[in-house]
Amino acid sequence: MSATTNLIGRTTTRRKRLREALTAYAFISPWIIGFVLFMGGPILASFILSSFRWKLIAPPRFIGFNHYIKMFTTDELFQLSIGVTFKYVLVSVPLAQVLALSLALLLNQRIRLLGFWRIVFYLPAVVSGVAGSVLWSWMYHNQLGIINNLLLLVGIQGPNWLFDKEIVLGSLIVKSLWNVGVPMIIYLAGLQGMPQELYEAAEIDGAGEWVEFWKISLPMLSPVIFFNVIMGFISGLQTFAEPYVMTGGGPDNATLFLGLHLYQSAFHYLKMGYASAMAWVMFLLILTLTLVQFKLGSRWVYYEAEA
Amino acid sequence: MDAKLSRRVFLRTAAAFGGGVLVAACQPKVVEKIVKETVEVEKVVKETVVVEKVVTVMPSPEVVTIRYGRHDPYPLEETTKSFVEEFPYINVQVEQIGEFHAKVPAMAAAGTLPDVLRSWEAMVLDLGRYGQVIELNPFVDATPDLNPEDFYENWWKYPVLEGKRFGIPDAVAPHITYYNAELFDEKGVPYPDLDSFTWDDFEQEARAISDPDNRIWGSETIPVGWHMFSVKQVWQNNGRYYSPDYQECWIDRPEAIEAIQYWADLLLDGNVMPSPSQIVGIGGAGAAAELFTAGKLGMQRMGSWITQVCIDAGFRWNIAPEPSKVKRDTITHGAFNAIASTSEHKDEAWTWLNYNCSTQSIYEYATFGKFPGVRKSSNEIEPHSWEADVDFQVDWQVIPQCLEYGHVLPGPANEGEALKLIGDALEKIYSGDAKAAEIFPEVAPKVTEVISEI
Repeated sequence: MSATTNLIGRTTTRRKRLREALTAYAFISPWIIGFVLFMGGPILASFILSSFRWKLIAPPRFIGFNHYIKMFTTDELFQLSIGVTFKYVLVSVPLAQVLALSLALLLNQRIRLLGFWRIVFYLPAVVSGVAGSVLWSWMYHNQLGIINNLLLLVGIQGPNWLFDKEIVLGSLIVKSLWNVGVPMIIYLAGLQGMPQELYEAAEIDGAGEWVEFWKISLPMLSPVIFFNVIMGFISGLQTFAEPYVMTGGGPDNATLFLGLHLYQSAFHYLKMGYASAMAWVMFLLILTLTLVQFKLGSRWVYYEAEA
Repeated sequence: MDAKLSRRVFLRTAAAFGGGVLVAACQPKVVEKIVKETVEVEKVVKETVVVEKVVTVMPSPEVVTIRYGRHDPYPLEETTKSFVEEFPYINVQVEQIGEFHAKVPAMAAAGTLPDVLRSWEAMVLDLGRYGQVIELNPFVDATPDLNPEDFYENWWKYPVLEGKRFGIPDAVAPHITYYNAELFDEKGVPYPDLDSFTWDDFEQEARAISDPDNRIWGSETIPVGWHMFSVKQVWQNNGRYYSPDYQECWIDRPEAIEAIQYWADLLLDGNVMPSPSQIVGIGGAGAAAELFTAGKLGMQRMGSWITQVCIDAGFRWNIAPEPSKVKRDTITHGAFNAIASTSEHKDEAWTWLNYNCSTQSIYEYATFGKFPGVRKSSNEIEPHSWEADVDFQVDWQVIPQCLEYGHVLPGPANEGEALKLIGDALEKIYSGDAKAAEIFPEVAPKVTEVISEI
């Protein structure tokens, strides 16, 4: 082939690739435009705003890293909110995983009305956070709530679930366990994808159900557990609807979550720059925690493909 | 001789009679008849003539639309209708702004504040501080029929920073003491004295009425989450939350500490008002707020907006001023009308604002809300706007009297954050977890730092 023919061929190929590329970008451009306008742009803006003092009703004023310094040195409410959020997450996430896995194991059996039970346990997951919080507020009501009225039937005077600062965080944790539908479904999918030959081999070797669970089910489920734990921590650290609707952060800041403190800083105290800085700190906290979990996960997560 | 009618007499009489008839018949007749006569008269002639004349014709003003934003759903149709009749070139578009505390700053940041904004106390000062609303002094000075003397002094003076006025007030709801007259009679307790109702009287009367075992108390509980409720207690003891220039927090001063601790002790006592643990037993703060209308409280200190609720409660009640300690004082809660700096029709905005804050307009709004107006002239119109139709004695005069001595809620910079700090401290004091003397000295410097950061 002559050099000219080769050159023409390469040019035609380049043009064709360019056209294909442009066509692809044209198809995904609505998403890109939407992302830039409604996600990327605001994210970048909040990063820039985090170094400004901005009250909305006054022009922004550059202050550098003062917000970040203040957060970790003088803002007691920020430090308190970090504590409340981590306490909540460190209790609710493991409990939720245990409950979700237990339910998945139960729903993986051949029982009557299996479809009905799966719907019942998954249904809370489709209820919005606010609606669920309002519902639980009424359930927790000291006089009219169903929980205390049921306790009264057995002679127990129920506490003030949402107004006693010693137990209010526990009340929110219990409420969070109502939403284990999503991890439950994921565990169920994981259980149903287990290779049956492993269980058959174990049965032949005389392993009981408990040994099968610990030695086969759990290791095989470890990637699913890993995924659910990470997702649980990410969503737990961003908890907002429950404290906002049910307690307002009280009593005595006992349920002042980081997300709620961020919201109050922005819309009650009109400290937009400070709230932006808090949002970035929250992002970095979640990122750090996730990276740590990935690092630790390499020690206990078993990937069948790698084996 | 016999008196006989002689021929002579008869003839004489007949002749006389006939002569009389003849004379009567010969009198000239009055006859109307048309007589033509030539007379000189002035003739008036109307005639249409075409006259060429040079005149200067003013162009009719272009119709301008201004936006009026407020947080409450008060129906302004009558006011805007009469305004448009008087000012046909100004169209007023009324907007109800929900989530006011968040929406108004967002609108300010976007430059979309309404031309005229009806705003709460502290917010109008904040908007003025940062130039979001304009100074109204030139407009006030140029409006001869706007008489500052007609406004109650504390309300006229409030929206002024460094000599610049940023708002004009309209109606206001003061805090007073509502009391259940039937419960007082039942317990044989004398009614609060209108001229000298003190904290000690309040406590005495409340204790005499309280019967906690039967869920009856002499007073409402303190709404712990409503931090501003406690400011009137501090005022009544001659203290303040903030310095007059809003640069310092004064809650660590003895007057404020004493005031808050006094009421906290009453709250925790349980024999004057429901204590925190008793509130739990009656269903929480929400239920506690309805105890007065349920006939379970002797007294409730609250804004006069609950008048209608009390009427609906169905028992005989009356009102008295807030109890006093060192002096008589109370909260008077209302709003101010301001003009946005981004308005493109400031003159027309002022025309509407001035009209909306006129005696009649304020009277109409005040009647709707059962409030007094901030203008003395609007409070002279009868029937009085704060009075309701009830078939028992109510000392209605207590309500407008509050405007003579009551104060407007304070408006420091960064009020939200300052109230959070003060509110957290109050929550600890009212729950018995801390004493005012311990916690206020810690909190006051932090609040000072927040409010002085402008």
